Amino acid sequence: MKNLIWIFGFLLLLTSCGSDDDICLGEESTPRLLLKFRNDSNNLVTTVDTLYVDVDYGKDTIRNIIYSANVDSVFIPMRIDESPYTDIYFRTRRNQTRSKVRINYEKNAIYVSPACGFKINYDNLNAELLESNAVQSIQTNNTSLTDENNINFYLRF
Amino acid sequence: MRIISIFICAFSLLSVSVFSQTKTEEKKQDSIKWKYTPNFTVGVDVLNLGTGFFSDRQMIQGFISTRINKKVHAIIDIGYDNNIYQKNGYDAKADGLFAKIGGFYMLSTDPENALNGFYAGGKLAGSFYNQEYKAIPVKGLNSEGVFLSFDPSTQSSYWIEAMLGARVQVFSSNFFIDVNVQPRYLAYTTKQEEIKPMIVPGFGKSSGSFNMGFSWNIAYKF
Repeated sequence: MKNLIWIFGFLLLLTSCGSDDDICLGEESTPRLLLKFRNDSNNLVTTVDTLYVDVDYGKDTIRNIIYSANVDSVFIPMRIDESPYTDIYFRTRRNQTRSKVRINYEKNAIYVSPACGFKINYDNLNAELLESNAVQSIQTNNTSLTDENNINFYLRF
Repeated sequence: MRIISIFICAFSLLSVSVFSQTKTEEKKQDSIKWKYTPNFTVGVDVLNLGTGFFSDRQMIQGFISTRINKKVHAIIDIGYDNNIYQKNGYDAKADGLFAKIGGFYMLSTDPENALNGFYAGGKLAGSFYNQEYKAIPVKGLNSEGVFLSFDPSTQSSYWIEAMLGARVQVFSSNFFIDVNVQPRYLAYTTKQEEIKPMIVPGFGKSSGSFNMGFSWNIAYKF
């Protein structure tokens, strides 16, 4: 009888250590776009003294996601909904007119786990500079976005 | 959730009272030499049938068991389960039939009635069901509320389960009360678009491979 209680207790323990379906770790989420900067005159990699980045996520307002000083690179989360592009706005001064960059892509939904659901990988990335101001031009570096290790575009200031 | 707990509690209390009464019953001694004669015990899980009225999960299950020698019984379970999963952005639904086959061994029996006692056993189980994932979340920064949906599909899952329980005769009638727990491990499942099923009929929540089932049966011995 005592053995039975032990066996039962052990099995109860075993069933209680199943993986939780609530916790999704960040690295299994959709990768972010990686941008670096170049000087427009000499094409050398540079830092930007002040940078504001706003993204249109398809909501009512454009969302400011980055405001920082002396930046050499930025990670930008892009849209994961049905839209085939994400509009990103850059400025180097608060009251400056924004440069508008449209990133076009093809999306692939990839199943991760019960907790995380799906993530999006982007292929055939292509950047269009719709309104130039602070950003003078764009250089393409890597057109596929499956992790956050590769630089996708260089923005020339 | 609270109502379910109360319901389970009421059932447990009822089972205690039945256990205490049967102790006093006088039963015939089992013959020393056991010879198989056709005998069947048919049971219905009343606990899960009852909780179906209060929860999102409707499960009907029953079993047929036969005593094949003095201490070993063979058992077949058949059931139907209809369940939904709505959590963390998921909206899923699954319904279908499941079956289990296995055996159990009487670990300790009442000296006056070999059919009363504690048992342990194992089963192989399979489920054949329809599932529909109306929403599965897509995770990305700054973008909440994005989901993917999939067409209904037919899938199957297979698992092994252990079984620990007790069976006790109700007075001197042919009715028995059979209570058992089933720790289970999901061994194999077919997948739609590589999606691990969140619920499997007969198994329950399946995001982790381990799960625990509980059943409270009323059985009749022929």
